[in-house]
Amino acid sequence: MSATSGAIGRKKKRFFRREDLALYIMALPTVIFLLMFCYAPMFGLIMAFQDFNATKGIFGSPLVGLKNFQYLFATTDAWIITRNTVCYNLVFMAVNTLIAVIMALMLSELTSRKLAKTLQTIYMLPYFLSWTVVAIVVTAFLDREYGIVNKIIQAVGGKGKTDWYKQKDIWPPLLVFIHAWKGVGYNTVLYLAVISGISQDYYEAAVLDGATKFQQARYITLPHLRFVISISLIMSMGSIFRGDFGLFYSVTKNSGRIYAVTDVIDTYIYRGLITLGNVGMSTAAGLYQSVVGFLVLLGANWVVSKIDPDSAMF
Amino acid sequence: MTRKMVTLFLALALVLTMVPAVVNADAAPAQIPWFIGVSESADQGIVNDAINAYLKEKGINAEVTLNFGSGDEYWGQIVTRINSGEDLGIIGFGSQTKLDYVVRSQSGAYYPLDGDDALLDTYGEGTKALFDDGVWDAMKINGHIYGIPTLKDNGFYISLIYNDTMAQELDIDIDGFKFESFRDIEDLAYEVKEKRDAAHPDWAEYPVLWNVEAVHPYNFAVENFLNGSFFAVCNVPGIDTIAGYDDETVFNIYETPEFLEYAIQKQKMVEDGIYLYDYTDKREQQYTGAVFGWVGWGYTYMEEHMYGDNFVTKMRMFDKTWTDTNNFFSAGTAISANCATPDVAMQILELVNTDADFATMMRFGIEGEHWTYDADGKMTFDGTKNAIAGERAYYYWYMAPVGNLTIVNAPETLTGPDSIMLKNMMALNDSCIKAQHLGFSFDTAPVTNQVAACTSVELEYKNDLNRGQLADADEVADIVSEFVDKLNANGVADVIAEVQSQIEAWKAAK
Amino acid sequence: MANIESRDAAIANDRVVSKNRFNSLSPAWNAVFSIILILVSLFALVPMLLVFIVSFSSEASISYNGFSFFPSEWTLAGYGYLGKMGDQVLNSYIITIVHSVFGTLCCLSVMSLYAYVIAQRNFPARRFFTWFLFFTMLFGGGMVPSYMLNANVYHLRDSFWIFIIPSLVSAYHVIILRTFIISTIPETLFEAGKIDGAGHFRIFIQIVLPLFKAGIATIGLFQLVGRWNDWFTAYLYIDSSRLVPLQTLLQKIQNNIDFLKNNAEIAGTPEGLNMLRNLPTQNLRMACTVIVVLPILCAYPFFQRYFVSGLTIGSVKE
Repeated sequence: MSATSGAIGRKKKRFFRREDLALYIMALPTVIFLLMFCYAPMFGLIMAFQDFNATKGIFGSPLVGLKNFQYLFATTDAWIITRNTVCYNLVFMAVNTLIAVIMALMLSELTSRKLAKTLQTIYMLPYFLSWTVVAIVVTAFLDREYGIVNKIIQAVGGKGKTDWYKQKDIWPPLLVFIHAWKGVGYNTVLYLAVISGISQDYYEAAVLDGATKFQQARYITLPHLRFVISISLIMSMGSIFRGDFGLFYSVTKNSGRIYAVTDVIDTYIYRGLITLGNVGMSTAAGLYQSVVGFLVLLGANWVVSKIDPDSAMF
Repeated sequence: MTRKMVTLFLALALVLTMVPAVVNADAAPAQIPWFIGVSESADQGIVNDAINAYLKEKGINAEVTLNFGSGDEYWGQIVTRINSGEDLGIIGFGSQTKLDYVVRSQSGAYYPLDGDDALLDTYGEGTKALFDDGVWDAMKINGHIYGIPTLKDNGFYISLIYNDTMAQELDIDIDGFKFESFRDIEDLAYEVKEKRDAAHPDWAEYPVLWNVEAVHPYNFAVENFLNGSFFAVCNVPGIDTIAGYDDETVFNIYETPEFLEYAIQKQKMVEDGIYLYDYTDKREQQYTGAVFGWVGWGYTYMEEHMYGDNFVTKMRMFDKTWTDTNNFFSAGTAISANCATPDVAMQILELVNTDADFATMMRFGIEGEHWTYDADGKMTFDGTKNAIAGERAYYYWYMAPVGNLTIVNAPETLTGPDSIMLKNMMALNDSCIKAQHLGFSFDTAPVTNQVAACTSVELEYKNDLNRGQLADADEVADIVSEFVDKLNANGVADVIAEVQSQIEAWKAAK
Repeated sequence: MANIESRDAAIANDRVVSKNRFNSLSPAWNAVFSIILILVSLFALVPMLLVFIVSFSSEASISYNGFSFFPSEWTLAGYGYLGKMGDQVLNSYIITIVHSVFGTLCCLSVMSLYAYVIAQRNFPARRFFTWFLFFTMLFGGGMVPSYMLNANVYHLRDSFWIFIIPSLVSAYHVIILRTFIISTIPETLFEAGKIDGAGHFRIFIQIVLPLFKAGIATIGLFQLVGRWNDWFTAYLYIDSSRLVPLQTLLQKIQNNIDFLKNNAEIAGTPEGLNMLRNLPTQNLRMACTVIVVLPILCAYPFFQRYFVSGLTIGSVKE
């Protein structure tokens, strides 16, 4: 008697503690929001398994099992697009994080606060440009006839008639550079914000112990950043199967000869579905990317939790 | 006792609430949005009101809301709304709107016009009479008609628009050669280039011909069964572009020797400066008078200063004109599947296809405000809000996604003296060669994966080949063979076989 | 304890000067870093400069010379075109500012509350709530069901609230906020608060909020910028012109011009063609970019003082 009721009573008390009531109330608006705007639309995922017909609607269209997923694997390029998507994402993550951390460290140490502020504003500029505009800027440099690169080559005596949009080899590093150029400012802001929250006491104590700037960065600043960096990286793992469409389509001008190094899952989906216009197939593609990303993220989180439990997400 | 009274009271209340509904049922006009794939304009509000007043005058109890919008994003969002089951009233489809008729019909976006309520027969007699049965058969997808094609230039009437001032000056004979495709124009182009550069050395950097980068219909006259892809096509009887195939057999145009020849020719002409390597953002060059020729599609009458006052433009049409099923999908109107009042929508469509005043109002706005008659009784824009091009308040010439072009009143500057353009148009519609399989449309469902994969491959290679953006003939040959191999690896043979078998079944059923 | 307190006080009073003397970078390293960072900033500046210059280049210049830093012909056509629809542009500016700012304020309140909840180490339901949030980041139903719900069930079509409500919570930003709370606010403060008898609301308002200003400012900036740049929401849901935000308006203008130009040959008479050829396109596109970016650049310094580090603002006080 006492055992069971005591056990039940204890469990109940532990889960719904009086003092947690405020927390539940604070969480309530978000919970309602998530239910209404994130979970409710998930019924649409069923379209991935339907031969969708607009007249019959979501609730009337026939189910066709996994048929909508087949086209993703039916192409001879299936491996290439997957490889490109994943590899680019990994390199983007590594490069962006590295550069942003280094820049945040440097910025935080500059003596002139005015310079630091001005520079920080400038670094955010590329973030505001849409990929269409970025494509135009890249054209200004790489265009066969009018591009600055070819003009410079001509000026130093070369022929300068290369169509850079057809040269496979330059695009992987170029895309990494462009992606970093656009995204690093955002991350730098984030890391600077974290750095600004580090208590000065740590640094004072370190200086008293005779630590150099480099040692301060290594033993104080970086460990504080570790958590936010690992969270960002783990979350990016969730999108590892998604390619940034604007970058891989607009900036490359959809040039076919460089597909081997610029084609990603999202651009393939776009091309394949232009003529078919099948919403079931595009939903299936999105679901596929989500599921794989989810599994990768769990894996990444597990790995991180084994190395450093405090840096994991869960 | 009280229960009885309550029930009686409730019943009475229910009846009373229904009375105003019954009384007002006729009064409430049907709300019909109309999506047209052309850009917005300043006066679309007042023209919309005028249109509603006109509809009322004609006895159609409806309130139309015109929705203008262009661009891929606009049509992308319309597709989302279609798929979510919204009542979208009347929707234009076709190349200007980027709503592909076949794909949308197959996925249930439109309301059948020959369903149980026989909309077309009941309210659309005049519209039905515009096309013969063969065309209405062509509009049938999965056994039902889902859209009304626009009566305009319903065929491939391709022409070379040329700079007559230059032709006269350089003594070019524009009529003395066989002209069935732009591949036939090589000798002429080189002759022009030689003579032009000799007479005007400063024009040497300008192209001779403007952009011609499509396999079909400019360079090959074939019957096409896919939407913008050409790996499953058929010869057109009487033209027989590709040797070795009759006009019943489906084949892949990219593996034919004629295609390789064309790709090599294109590359050579780009290298020699006949065509530009890249035409983006170079529009200005067309108006200088240095360019000799352009592609024209659907011009049945050529005005004299098509590209500005610097020179006179004339045209020479292909020796042969033809039409196929896809042509009727290129512009038209459909009724949204979830339209609340499809019968009223059909009445509006009947009006726009048969009533000259309505068709004119849709395109040019209100008489007196946006257009008027001059002293000779001829229609003109002078003195109205549409007078200055680039600042027109409401002006949509063609407006193909709306309906019958041939009944529109337009000034001579647009349709030529005595509406010669429209007359020529109707004549060509009658006389052009009809493709063997007019009326058949391909259902991609059995080979969706192969179509998706092959479309992707085609998009990878076609631009470089069509634009001649390669180094030399050897590279062209390599790329073409790579292209064909990849198509084969991605199942193009399955697609062709499927098209062939569906055609046989369609023929047998006729 | 007293030593640290008084030192803190002395430092707080002296602020910049004593800080710098205390632990600043050597002048040599400072110069090196400065030069490197300035060079890097050129990569960000030069493209923006190009955008600016192209916005003043004429279509003819672009046609003959491509996109160049030294156009052959300058023009105000791009801005002039926008100026002609001055009323609309002004209206769009206003509606964009209103929905961006209001939306940011709403979402910051809701999101920071949730971030606080899932940052509570001793909360038994913490894992559940974290997962509940995070799952939505990975899986989504897509545009069609969202549109169906927003338009037909929630009746948000053509309403101001479409800008605020469906974007109220961004899972990614909540996770970042949680990160800020965990990294910058030590457990001891929560304990201290509890011992003092404060409930969670008191702790949130009096202890947490003042301390993670940097986090709120950062996410506030990201949210503001995201909302300012968003053109798609209105494209899909807004019909009435008074609710059209800036980016959507500009997108529509560009589409219209592209359409007119692509159809120039069948769209008009020869004089029409002459007029249309001067219609701004690429320079208009750049002009649109410029007028969208400038206001944000002005707003930026407002946020900056919360997260430029090195000063004692925002440091933890024991």
